[in-house]
Order: sequence, then C-alpha cells, then structure tokens
Amino acid sequence: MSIAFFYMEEAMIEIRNLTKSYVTQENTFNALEDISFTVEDGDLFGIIGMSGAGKSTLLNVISGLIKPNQGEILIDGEIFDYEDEKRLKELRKKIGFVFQGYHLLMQKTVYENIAFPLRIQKKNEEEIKQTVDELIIKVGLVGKENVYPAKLSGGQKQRVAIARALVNKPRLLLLDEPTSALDSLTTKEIIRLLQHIHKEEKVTMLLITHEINVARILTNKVLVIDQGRFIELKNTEDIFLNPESEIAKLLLGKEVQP
Amino acid sequence: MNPIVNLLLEGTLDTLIMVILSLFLAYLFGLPLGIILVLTKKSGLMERPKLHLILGSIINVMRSLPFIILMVVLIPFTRWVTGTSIGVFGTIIPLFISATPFVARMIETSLEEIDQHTISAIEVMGASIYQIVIHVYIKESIPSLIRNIPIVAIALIGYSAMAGATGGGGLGDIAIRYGYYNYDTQMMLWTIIIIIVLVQIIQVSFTGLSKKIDKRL
Repeated sequence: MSIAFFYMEEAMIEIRNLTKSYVTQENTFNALEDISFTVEDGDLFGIIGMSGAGKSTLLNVISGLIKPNQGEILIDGEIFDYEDEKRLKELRKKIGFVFQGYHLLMQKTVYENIAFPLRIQKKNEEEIKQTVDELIIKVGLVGKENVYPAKLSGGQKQRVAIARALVNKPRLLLLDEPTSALDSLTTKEIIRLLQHIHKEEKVTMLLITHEINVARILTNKVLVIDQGRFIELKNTEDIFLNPESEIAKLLLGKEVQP
Repeated sequence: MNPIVNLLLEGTLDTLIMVILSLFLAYLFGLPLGIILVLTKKSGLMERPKLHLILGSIINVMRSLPFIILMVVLIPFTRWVTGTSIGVFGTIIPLFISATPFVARMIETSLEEIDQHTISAIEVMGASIYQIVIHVYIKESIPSLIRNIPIVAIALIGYSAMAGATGGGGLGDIAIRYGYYNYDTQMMLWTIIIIIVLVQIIQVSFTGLSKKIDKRL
C-alpha cells in the first residue's frame, strides 16, 4: 500500500547531475555519480540501496553538510549555495532533519531539545512555548516534557527528534533511517506518526532506509541507487510489482527470503 | 591561639588561595585554548591544521617542563608581574602557567567525547559556531568538565607543596621548613593530614556535583 499525495506538480527538491567524489591515497572514487532526480511537493519519497550505495552521502549533500564536486540542488526552487552561509541557514529553516541515531542533546530535557532550534534563532519565550507544546501533543509526548533523553525509549527519542525537526514548520523533512534502531512495533508507531504528520502538515518527506517494508508502507515513490549511481525511480507500487533493475530485484527479493 | 595551629591555619589558607586562584586562571586561559584545539582540528568546525599543530606543540612543550624547573625559569617573569618571586603571589604565576596547558588538554578530551554527528545535527539546524560551542560542546560536556576539576586542583596542591621548596608559602613551605629542615615530624604529619583532607574534600564534592548534574545516565 502506498500513499500518493500530489498537491501540486511542483518540485520540492531538484537534483541535477550531482557528483561527489573522494580522493583516497590510491584512487578517486565516486560516492555519488551524476545523479539527477526530482522530488515533487507532497511526495513521500524513499531512497533505497545497499549499505555503501551512497544514500547517506546523498542526504548529507542535500542537507548541506557535504559539498558536491559537481551538479546542483534546488530546494523549493532555490539553488543551494554552499558558499553563502547566510542563505544556507535561511534555506535550512525550510528543512527539518531527523538523523539516524536521534542525536538529541543529553543534558537538555525533551522540551528543551524540541525548543532548541527556536532558541538558537532567538525566538521569544511565548512563541517557543506555544510551538513546543503543540508539537509535544502532536508527537504523543505529553507528560515527558521535563524528562531527559537518557530516560526515554528508542521510539520516544525518535518522537522528540521528529518534533524537533518540525519546530520551524518546514516544508521538507529529511529522514535518515528513521526506524532502523527500533523494534517492529515501535517502527509501526513511528510510521503511523510520519503518515499523520505528512497528511496534517503537508510536508514533503525524503527518507533513506534499508528497510524495504518501511519504504513499501510509507513512501509513494522510490529511488534505487547503487554504487553512487541512479538505478531506477518509480512509484512505490510499480517498483514492488515490477522492479526492472537487478539491484532492485535483489533488494526487494532480500525481503522475501531473509 | 596555639602557634602551631595558627601556623597550620595560615598555611592551609595560603595553599587554598594559591590553588583556587591558579585554578581559576588556568581555566580562564585553558578553556578557550581547549576549545580552539577542538575547533581547529582536522574536520573541526573551524579547521585550521597549522594553527592546531602549533598550538598543540606549544602545549606539549609546556607540559614536558617539570614544574620545579618551570618555576625557576619563570622567576624573572613572575617578579615582573607580581613584584615578587616568593610567597603566595609569587607562586600563583608558575602554578597557573603550568596548569593551563594541562587544563587545555583536559577540556579538549572532554569536548571530544561529544558525538561528531550530534555536532553536525546541530549545525544543520542553523546554529552558529558560537552557539555550538556554548550549547553543545560546553553544556553537553559539563559533567565531564566538572569531573576533571579535582584532577587539576589536586595536581595544583601537589605543585604548590613543591613550590614550598623555593619559598612558595603554604603547607608545602611549612612542611619543608619545619618538617624537613628542622626535623619537626609532628608538623610534617599535620601538613600531610591537612593535605589529605583537602584532597578528599575536593574529590568527593566535585564527583558528587558531577553525578548530580549528569543526565546521560
């Protein structure tokens, strides 16, 4: 089952001829090689691939942590300029990030973790409180406001991370393996939460995952990459019914025969 | 008051003044140095490998000098700053100068315990380097920073006692003058007992404080 939301046929992310190479002592290898694709506004876009396929590099380039060697990225029609720190910051406010491994601040409470992006923007206390309180209800963490992350379960930590990513009311949410550290029941809860947020907030989501089932349930489009290269991009249903590439067959087949 | 008690009280007070002031100064200079070390390292937030190397080398050189030698080498400088090279204030300068590189390395180690991915995560949220230093590097490593204070403080107590050998004042001075030169065993024992008690108090209180504010467990 896939959910297809097409509010507008507008591009949220446009990736054009993206190449990222690393120089090692022996040779140069391409972590990403001439990748181009478009994520439409409202998409629940999944990127799948083997370990080392370049998924994380791709996400890091889109989040501006890594500068590509070639190519360009447009977010919501605006070119990602890696040199212009100020505009990069403005652009990043349109993007929410959910990182693999949560990366919460351990010395701050749930409330303060969610409020953190607003605090660094020096928003006023009233605005922060209103936004954070709403989000705490939305992600189901009522009563946990003053708890420190070390006392939370994996699923609760992920809820904090998701709330923190939503605090700027982003139009785009980037998720790196959002369920990889969770058990199957918690994974289902987080998927449900993300579906709910996608519907309510009209936020475009781009997630990378190695869990094929998560991609199947959550996304409406899937991009398969391998060895840094674009392999195929299809609607989720189509790719699961009729994978063309060997690597897609392999990835999906793995799920059938564990 | 009993002259022995009086002398010991004065010595304890002098030692405390020396240790607290030099500890304060060592952190005042060591904290920014430690932060600079972390920021300028390879793949740090302000990557400057050359600066990092130079700073690291200076710190290593400073740390290789035995305190007693550093104290002698610094006599002209100490005299220039404080007007004296002996007594409590003459000792504070070499004490804090020897402790600063030590503190810088301690701070560096504490800050490096913070997961690099957490730093990246906060960076993409749009935090400035200053904000990352304050909210992530420092606030997240406060328990570790506090746990390290007694290590420096206790080393400083040791150094301050050593300074007694060159007329540095404090408990070390008493131990050397009365205990060593005058064979006053009782005085020697008292200074040792006081130093042991001081070390215990410092260690227990900072460990307790660190545990209390550590939310990672």
